[in-house]
Amino acid sequence: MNKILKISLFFLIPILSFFIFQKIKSASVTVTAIVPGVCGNGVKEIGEQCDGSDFGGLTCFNFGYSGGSLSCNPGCTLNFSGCTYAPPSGGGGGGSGGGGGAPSYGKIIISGYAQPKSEVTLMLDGTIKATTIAGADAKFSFILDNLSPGNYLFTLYSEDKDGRRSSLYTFPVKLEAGQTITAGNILLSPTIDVDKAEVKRGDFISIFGFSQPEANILISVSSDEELFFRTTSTKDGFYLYQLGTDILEKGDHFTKSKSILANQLVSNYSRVVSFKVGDKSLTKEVEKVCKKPDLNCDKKVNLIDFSILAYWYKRPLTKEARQKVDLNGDGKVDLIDFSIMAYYWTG
Amino acid sequence: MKKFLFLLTIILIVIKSGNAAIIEPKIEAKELKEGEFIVIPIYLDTQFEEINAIEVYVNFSDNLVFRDYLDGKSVITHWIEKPRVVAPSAHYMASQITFSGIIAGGVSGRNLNLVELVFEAKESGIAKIEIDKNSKVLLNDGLGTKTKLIALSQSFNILYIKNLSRSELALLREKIKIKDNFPPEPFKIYLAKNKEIFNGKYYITFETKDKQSGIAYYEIIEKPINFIFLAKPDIKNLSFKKVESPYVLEDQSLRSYVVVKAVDKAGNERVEILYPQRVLVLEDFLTFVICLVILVGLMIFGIKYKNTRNNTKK
Repeated sequence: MNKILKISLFFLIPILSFFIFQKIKSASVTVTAIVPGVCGNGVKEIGEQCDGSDFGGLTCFNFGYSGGSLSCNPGCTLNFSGCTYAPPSGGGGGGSGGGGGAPSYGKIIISGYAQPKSEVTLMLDGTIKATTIAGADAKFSFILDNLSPGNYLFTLYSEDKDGRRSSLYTFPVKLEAGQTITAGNILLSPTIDVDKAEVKRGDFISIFGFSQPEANILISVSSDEELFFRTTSTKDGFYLYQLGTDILEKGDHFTKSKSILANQLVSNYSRVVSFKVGDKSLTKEVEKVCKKPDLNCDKKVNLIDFSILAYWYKRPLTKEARQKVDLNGDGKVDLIDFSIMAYYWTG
Repeated sequence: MKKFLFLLTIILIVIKSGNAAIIEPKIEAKELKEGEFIVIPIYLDTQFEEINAIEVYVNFSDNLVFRDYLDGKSVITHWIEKPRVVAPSAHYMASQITFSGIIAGGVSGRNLNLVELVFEAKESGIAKIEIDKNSKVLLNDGLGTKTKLIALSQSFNILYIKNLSRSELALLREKIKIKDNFPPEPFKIYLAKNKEIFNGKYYITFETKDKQSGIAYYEIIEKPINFIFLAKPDIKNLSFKKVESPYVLEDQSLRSYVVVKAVDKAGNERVEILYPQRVLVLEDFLTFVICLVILVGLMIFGIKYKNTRNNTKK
């Protein structure tokens, strides 16, 4: 009898420990691969100006330079020594002033990576200037000439084949007369979505979208604390992460992603998508109604929507207007509503 | 102990001001002559935050008069309220300049020009420009979160000048004139209609920038379509009127060319045209059909009349 017990224990213990190990492994496999909030983990977080090659979408342009590249000091502060300022080239005669002379225009060449075959939009001071289709390798480029010298705000975003948009990538440029500025290696954020609006705690939720082909994708899930997960995109840029929700508390959660290309270029974060962890699972419906800041429901957030919001600025709202234009639901149209609109701007 | 307290205070200030946007007036001149004009740029340093909306109040001393503003270099893409003087209120007992706007898509950086304010130095003494602490800077986070703000001030001296001649004064003021031989930027005219505003009438909205001197004003004309030639209106021979965006169209049938002219502060112009949205409406078509029927009828009648006359002659 004792022998039988010993033999069965001999087999049972390894089997049991294998299952326990697997259980622990399956629970811990999704847990953060990165130590959050630490300088040197390669992810720019609150309190850091940069981390490794993650500059949070900032370039030398944001600091008044006309080119070059930022680097990151060991203390996670920005290093501007690689930034350059190119004086106006050619253009003859120099200077923008002087009545009578022919105006000397500038040029900007913008290139980077979006998602394969996505539609990339370039805005200039909040107005659509050009659109293009990215190649199968996700590369895109724009050349704008005949630009009068001055300060410009360039904004880029892309839309994947399913109509999901990347976050906006904005950079200011000071263009001198006759100057050509090149802004290259711009990495647009991935697009992102989830398959469930609510997920039963313990079930899986799919976080997916499009990015550059074969890029490393960093997914952030924030609730009380921020958790990070990694995956890679396929050759056509698609990425998918199955998140086991047993590690999340019940309640509302937010997720966003960023892409890392060849361990050198880091995009800024995608748009934020929310989901709930609860007692049941509900599939996420495709949004049929227009987004709140799209006040005239034309799938664009632009000057028309701005004019509608501006009409109601500091005016008493009617019942219909309150439902439509009061974007944060505080009963009035003020700077906050304009800020929400600016975030969703499409030009 | 004193040293320690001093260090602690500095550390606390640094911690407190961590990630706070800075708005400051930048005045290069230390001294100014009475009657002289000065351009004071207001700069934003986002301190690595991404900002998309601002509302700024600027306090200025009594010996300054606000004369104008220049927005050619501004990072603001759309103005909610352009710079204007507001009367003393409960929260501030003197006149203030206020302006607000959005930066579509958000921006991060330092030395971002918000606007340039033009003042006249009226009386001698210390002049001060101060960003009011009630100014607001909102994050580009989709929620309109207010970020911390460090509001700075600067001052300069206005010198008393005895018997300054008109030509000398003009020469002083000439210094701030911006050389600008570039027209305003190309722009789009958006046609819109919304049942809740302007009584549901068609209106247009437009906005552009001039990168040097800034936009001075907009002009408009609605020119009804010429059915005979269907030709574009000759812009040179049109009499424009000054308007602001948004503008409710007079021709609600949308059968007019809408010509909008943007004029910068140096007088350069940019003209954009919104083409008639309806060339031939139903009533035009009916009129055309009726005219055609009458014409064909007359022709048939004429031919028949001629034939009967010829027959009677035979």
